[in-house]
Amino acid sequence: MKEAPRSIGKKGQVTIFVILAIVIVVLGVLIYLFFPGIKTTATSVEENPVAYFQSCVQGNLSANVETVSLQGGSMNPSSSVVYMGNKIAYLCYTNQPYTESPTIMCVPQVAFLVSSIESQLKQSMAATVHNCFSQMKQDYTSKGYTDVNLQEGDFNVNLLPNKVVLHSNTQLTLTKGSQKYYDSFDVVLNNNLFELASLASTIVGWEETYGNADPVYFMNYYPDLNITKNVLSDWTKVWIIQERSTGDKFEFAVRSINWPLGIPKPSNQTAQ
Amino acid sequence: MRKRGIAIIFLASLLVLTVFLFSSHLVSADNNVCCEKLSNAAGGQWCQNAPASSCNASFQMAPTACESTSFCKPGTCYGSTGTASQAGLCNEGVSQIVCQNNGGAWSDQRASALAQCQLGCCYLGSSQALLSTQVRCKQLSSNYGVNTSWDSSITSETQCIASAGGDTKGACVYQTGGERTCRLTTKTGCNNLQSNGSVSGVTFYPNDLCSNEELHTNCGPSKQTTCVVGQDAVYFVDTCGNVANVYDASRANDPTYWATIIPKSDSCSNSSSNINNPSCGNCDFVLGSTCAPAQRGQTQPVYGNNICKDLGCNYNGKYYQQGESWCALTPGTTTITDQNQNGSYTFGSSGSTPNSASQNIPGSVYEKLTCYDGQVNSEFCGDGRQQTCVQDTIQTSNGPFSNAACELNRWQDCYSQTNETSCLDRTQRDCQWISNTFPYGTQNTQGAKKSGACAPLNAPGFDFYNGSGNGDTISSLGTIICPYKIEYSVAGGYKITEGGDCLTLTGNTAHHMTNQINPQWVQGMYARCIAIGDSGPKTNYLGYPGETQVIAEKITSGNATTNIISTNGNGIIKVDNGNGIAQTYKSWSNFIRGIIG
Repeated sequence: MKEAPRSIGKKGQVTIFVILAIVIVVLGVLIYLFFPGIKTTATSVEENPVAYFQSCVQGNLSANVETVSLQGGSMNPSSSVVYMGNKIAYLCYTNQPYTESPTIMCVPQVAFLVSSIESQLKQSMAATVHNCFSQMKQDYTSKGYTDVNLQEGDFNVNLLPNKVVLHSNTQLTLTKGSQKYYDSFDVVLNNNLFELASLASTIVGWEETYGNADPVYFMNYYPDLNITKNVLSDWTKVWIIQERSTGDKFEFAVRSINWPLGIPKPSNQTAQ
Repeated sequence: MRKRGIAIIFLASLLVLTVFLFSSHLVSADNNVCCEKLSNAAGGQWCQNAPASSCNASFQMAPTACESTSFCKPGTCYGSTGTASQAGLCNEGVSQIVCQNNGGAWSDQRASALAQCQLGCCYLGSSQALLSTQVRCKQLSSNYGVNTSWDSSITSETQCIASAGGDTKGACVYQTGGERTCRLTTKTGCNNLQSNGSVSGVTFYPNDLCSNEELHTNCGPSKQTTCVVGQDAVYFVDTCGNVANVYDASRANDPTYWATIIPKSDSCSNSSSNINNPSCGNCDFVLGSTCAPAQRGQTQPVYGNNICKDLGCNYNGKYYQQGESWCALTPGTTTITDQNQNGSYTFGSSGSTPNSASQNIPGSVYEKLTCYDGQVNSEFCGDGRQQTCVQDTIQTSNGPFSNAACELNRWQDCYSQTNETSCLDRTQRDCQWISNTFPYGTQNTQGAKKSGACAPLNAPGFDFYNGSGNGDTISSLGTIICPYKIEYSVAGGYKITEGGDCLTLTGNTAHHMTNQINPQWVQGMYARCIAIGDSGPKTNYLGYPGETQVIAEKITSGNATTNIISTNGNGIIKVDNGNGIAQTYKSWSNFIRGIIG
């Protein structure tokens, strides 16, 4: 009679453990279903080539977007000024000093800045995109896919409002029992480079027309941006456009009409 | 009778050795070709007029100005329709080579003459509009994912924006989950909701708020407020989370204020910034305020957590409103005010000219400061004071409002002005007139008149660090020779018969003669010299004295140099009479007293 309670206790303990195990499993399933972040992480990359590509390319794209933004829209500026350790491309330049009636304030060095940045980013991403697809093919083959048919197509980088999109026309067919087909791959980066570069083009237009521009004027129109103009000793102006909320920056240089030190007007020659 | 004649030379600078013509002509003579591209060593820029040696040999060059060449002539670059980001864009002033490099098509015509660059009004959705080409308008439709339409008859930006009208806002009432609820949206937004299968009975009430009692929805007034992205003001929110009218504590319990949309312009204190106003949230970015959460320890609103935040700045103990700009008092500069905006500048608190010994001195740079969004930004006005910062103040209903600008320092042709009127013509130049002195460039006082000198109002800096610069040449305009002659007669003793200004006799002139350079003359010539620019010995912007330089010396008939006067620019004057004992004076007044009593 005295052992009965002990026997019931053992069974009770087992029951409790079983119930606990069921609760843990149910909780796990619920978390998996209702927390998309966890679900995404838990999803195997091999089943999602789009995510594979995004994960492979995004870091490099983000770094290149930052580089191009801090270098006046150029990955490797050929005509630039060094400012705070960065080479910043001139978007408009003149080597001419002040004259009474200047015919030109500065000569644009780039036409269609947004388009030019897209082209620069495309060039800079070519190797990464190719390597990612090659790696993807290898990985899927090694993970037991019977058929990995990857036809690498051309890709473009597009600057769009609030985002940078790398769009590849690569086609991929994966076979492992069933067959899956992908006709394109997109990598989307949240960034305001389109807006910042568009404003930079407007400022360059002012420098080209009037030889100067006032940051406050532009900040009145775009209160969410902090715009500064730094005048260097050779009259190069380094413009920095920064979005206040995200810190996204675009820096570029302009050298429009300038007043070099110690150059008097021609009429002074008679002073000798 | 004995005669002693020779000269006192006032040296503007020790380095006045080589004199050559000002280099403006040299610059233009050198810029005799148009380089399609500069060499990498010369910067690598496109389409610059430069010496032929600066051109990149792989590209074209022509012995004419770039505007006259086929490859660098500015024209209109229009975007290729095949490239989304270029489609419909037209850039004027772009050279052919730069246009082609960027994949555009080029024309030597103005954009207004090109069919593909014709502007019209592009409507984005139902509420926004901008002036663009037709192709660009279509491209924007794709970029922003909205429908667009284009009207070629509207070519004015103002007319275009005004014609956009806007989508009417109002209460979109609908039935969902057995409840009659509401969303504040546009008519278009409400129509879109109607197509959503999960709701029913969708009705749009233009200009009504969801909290309107007559709509009988589950949305009602609340005491909560919110900030809306892209809007300045603090807004009430209803119990459903919809934005209502501008926060006005006095009308929080007024059912009529919760019934219809009231424009911001008709809301509380609409002509004020309402900074830290606990009762009214009608903030105005232009007037210096915007919606923000109230900070702990500061003014709290009567209702809700948001208040109109001050966007002004505190700088060096002074408050500046948003948008104000002013000149920083950087070392070695002065405050320049142009209150009448006609060039009648005030320096410091009341001076009509700056103090050339302590202001506009070597190394000093003007700086403009701006207050924006609570932050002070600075803009340097360029090295060498090629621009100066000029400010003025206007009176507004919110108090004085200061404006500043980096203005071109037009010093370049001051030295060649020979009369006071042209010198002080502030429509043409920024100069000051120094009367009772010799004009700049006068090399010898003999026969010359003290008709006055025209000097820069704000002494410019020169590129002394650049071997080919013009600083020495310009400074040499201050060099002057004063021939003197001393005669002796038994009856009259010693007398200066020439160069009386620059020489002084001391002692008993009847039997014995000692002569020295007149210290007052040296002081005048020194002032004339340093007004040229960064010329002569001067204290720099950090307060460090310059190198001790000879500023005047006497050459005797035997070609001996005596009475050598030098200074480092900070008031210490040394006089070396060649006898091995140099006399030092701590100031100009001591020097003058010491020589002539």
